[in-house]
Amino acid sequence: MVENKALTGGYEESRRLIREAMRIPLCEDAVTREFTLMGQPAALFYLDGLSSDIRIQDYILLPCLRAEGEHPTLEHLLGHVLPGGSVSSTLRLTAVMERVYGGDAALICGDIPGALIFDVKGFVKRGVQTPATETVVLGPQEAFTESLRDNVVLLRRIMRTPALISESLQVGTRIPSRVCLLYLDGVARQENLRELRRRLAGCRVDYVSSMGMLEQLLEDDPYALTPQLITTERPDRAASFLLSGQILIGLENAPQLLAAPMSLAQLFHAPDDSALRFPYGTFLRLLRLLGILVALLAPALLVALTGYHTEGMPLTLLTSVQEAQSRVPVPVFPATVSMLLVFSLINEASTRIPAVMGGSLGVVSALILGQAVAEADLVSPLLIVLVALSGLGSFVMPDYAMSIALRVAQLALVIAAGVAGYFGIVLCLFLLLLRLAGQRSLNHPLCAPLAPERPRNPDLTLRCPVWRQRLRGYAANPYSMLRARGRMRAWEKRKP
Amino acid sequence: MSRTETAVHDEKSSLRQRQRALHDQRRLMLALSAAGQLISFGSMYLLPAAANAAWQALLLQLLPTGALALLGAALRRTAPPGAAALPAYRAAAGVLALLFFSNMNVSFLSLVELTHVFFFPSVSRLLLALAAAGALGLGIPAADAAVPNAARMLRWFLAGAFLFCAATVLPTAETAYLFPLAGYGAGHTLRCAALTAGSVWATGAAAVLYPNAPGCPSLRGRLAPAAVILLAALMFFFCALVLPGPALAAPRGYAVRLQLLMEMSPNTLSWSLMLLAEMLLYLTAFAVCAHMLRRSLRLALRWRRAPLLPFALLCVPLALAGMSESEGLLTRLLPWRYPLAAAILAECLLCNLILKRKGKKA
Repeated sequence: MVENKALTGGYEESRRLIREAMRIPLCEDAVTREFTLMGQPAALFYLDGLSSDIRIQDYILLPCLRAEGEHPTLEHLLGHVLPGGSVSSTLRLTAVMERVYGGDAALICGDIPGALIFDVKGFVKRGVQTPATETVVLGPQEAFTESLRDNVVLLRRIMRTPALISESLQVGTRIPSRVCLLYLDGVARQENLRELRRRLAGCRVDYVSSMGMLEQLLEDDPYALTPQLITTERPDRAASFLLSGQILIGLENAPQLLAAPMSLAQLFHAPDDSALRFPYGTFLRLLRLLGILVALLAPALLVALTGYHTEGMPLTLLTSVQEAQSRVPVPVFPATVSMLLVFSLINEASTRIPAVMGGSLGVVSALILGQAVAEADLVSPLLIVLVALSGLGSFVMPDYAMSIALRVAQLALVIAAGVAGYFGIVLCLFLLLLRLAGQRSLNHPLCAPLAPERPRNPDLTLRCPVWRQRLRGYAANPYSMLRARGRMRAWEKRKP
Repeated sequence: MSRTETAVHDEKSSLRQRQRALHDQRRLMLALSAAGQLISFGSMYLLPAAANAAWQALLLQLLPTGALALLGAALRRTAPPGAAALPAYRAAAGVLALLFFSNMNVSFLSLVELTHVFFFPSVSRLLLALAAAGALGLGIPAADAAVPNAARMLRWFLAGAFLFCAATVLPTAETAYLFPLAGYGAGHTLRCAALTAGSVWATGAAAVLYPNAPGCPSLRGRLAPAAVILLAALMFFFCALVLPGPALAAPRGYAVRLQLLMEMSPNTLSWSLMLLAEMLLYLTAFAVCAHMLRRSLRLALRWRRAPLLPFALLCVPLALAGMSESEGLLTRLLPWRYPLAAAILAECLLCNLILKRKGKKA
């Protein structure tokens, strides 16, 4: 931990404090460049690799070495010597360390109290690439990167308005990480902002390593199955969250942004829903809903119907199921649980496996676990079809965290169906629903605006036409909920 | 960015509107409780004497519930400052807790009976009742909004299930009941007329009981949630339609009556949906009553946290007694709780008025 000392004890004292804080000469990439500036001793501190050598040379060293005169003052240096655009001064050692370890350079000089900080970042970073988890057919193909500054720039490119506010905060008691709050002034609720600031200030952890960790520190109910903050890696989606009155949270080194508060319905929305015409968008949403229902209920219903309620199946289906099952030594319930676990195993392996070995995974899963198991009569073909269908259904869930929650719920329902048939399914579903209905996101009900009902944008379950989407999300400032006055398709003539 | 101003309701900024929303939620829960009770009683009374039983069920449930809701509203209006601390007010909450506990019993009894008959006839009733009580007692969350929100979400499933069942079952039903004079004569016609009127009456009562959700247009806010009550009434209606004439007159047990109804289903999907929807309604009714019980206990006994598990376990003995005994006991006892609660609420109302007058004089 760096003590928060003041750099006001003169050049030698400041130099000693900074060198001690940067562990020089023990730390080999911490650089001190000492020189004479207008007759006074000066020292420049930076980290090799984090700062750009060319910028240091062009914007700091060359102008300083060429400067003429005696007894430099802060005003003189800023006004006549240093050409860099982003220069600031600070008196605190912790602020100097924070900036230097963020890629900036610090200059101390003679009698000038404190240090001058130069924005000369030059570390390697990934460029803007296509999204990895939120892929779309239509719409922009850019994704956030690990650089928080780039992420803010990507958003500013979309939303060219001074109302887009970017607030910088820090979390982490030992190694602070930069966190950025982004919101639209006048659209986001002040209560939400205050609550978010309070929660961020209350994160007592030494270091926040990822967005997932920050999410767990901020969310209302960390034991809940469903996420309560929504993650996105797409600037266009983040912009739509801002327009709904939500607040975005960015973290340095995280290629996603969090949005709060969120509504459950947003987890089912794909990024390109709004890019499609409304009949197509609605069709795809309904298809997605069907897929989710199949994923959640199909395996459980099979277990319940074959184990407890054979009278619930049509006679032809019952005959074929019984015929297929008669050749299989394993009962349906354990077979379904095993197949679901195997499917999850394949899914997890395909996520972790190196790309060059992807082909062999396909062979293992398709031939060995699919065809061979069916031929060996270890499970019935109907079960394989249903598990594959439910797997497809879980893949249509646009949100990755929610798709995992869906798989957990699916397994719970299968177990409940195995224990108590329809009764187990209904009881388990009901208890899951009760739990879901009581959850909150940043103190707002998670299932709002559906339950409880709130004034809202009608783009929830169905993708309503854009010209009917007059209201923002319920989380927006109530005085700015109306997105447009009058008719959106104002060029249309009214029917007489 | 230019700001556009609109008169959209801001729930958080207005304490009054927030309280209204809370009252709306309470009314919603009362209505759902009544719906669950209708189904319970409907199943119990399922058509040994269809029309009369339906009328009785409606009158015994909806009318007192509505009257209590109105009395409760009057009580809130007339309550002097600090009324929540008044013993009379707390006593009323205690009676309401008793009322909701008895409703929990009815729902639980029906749930256990249904489960025992249809799913686990060979499993002991005690085991089933204990498992259900344990799951519900531990699984119903303490969050205030959980139960009403869940009920709101479920109404779409229930609506879909009942509409599908009605659409598939009605074509195979006794068409004579649609045109009773042609088939069964004046007596049946009158019964069906009563039944139909009862359904309409129930829907009308639901519209009064039902909340107008904040920020929503009035009609939409009242009609959408009222669908749950309407479905309860519809259930009676098509129960009457699908069962053949002789079944109406014969004194049948609950299980046999349900079995008869299920056998009328033309396909397996409607059979499954009827079963699932019925269980879900019992569970919702139980959860709603449990939630209200918890709130009442908090008010009556100043409990910070009221665990549900003991109350859920207290429901087990009645469920063990068997349907006919429990049915008899409940039908004798249950109607008295409404006059009792109404009397105590009226007494509280009177106390409030007296206290208010005294306060004005002082």
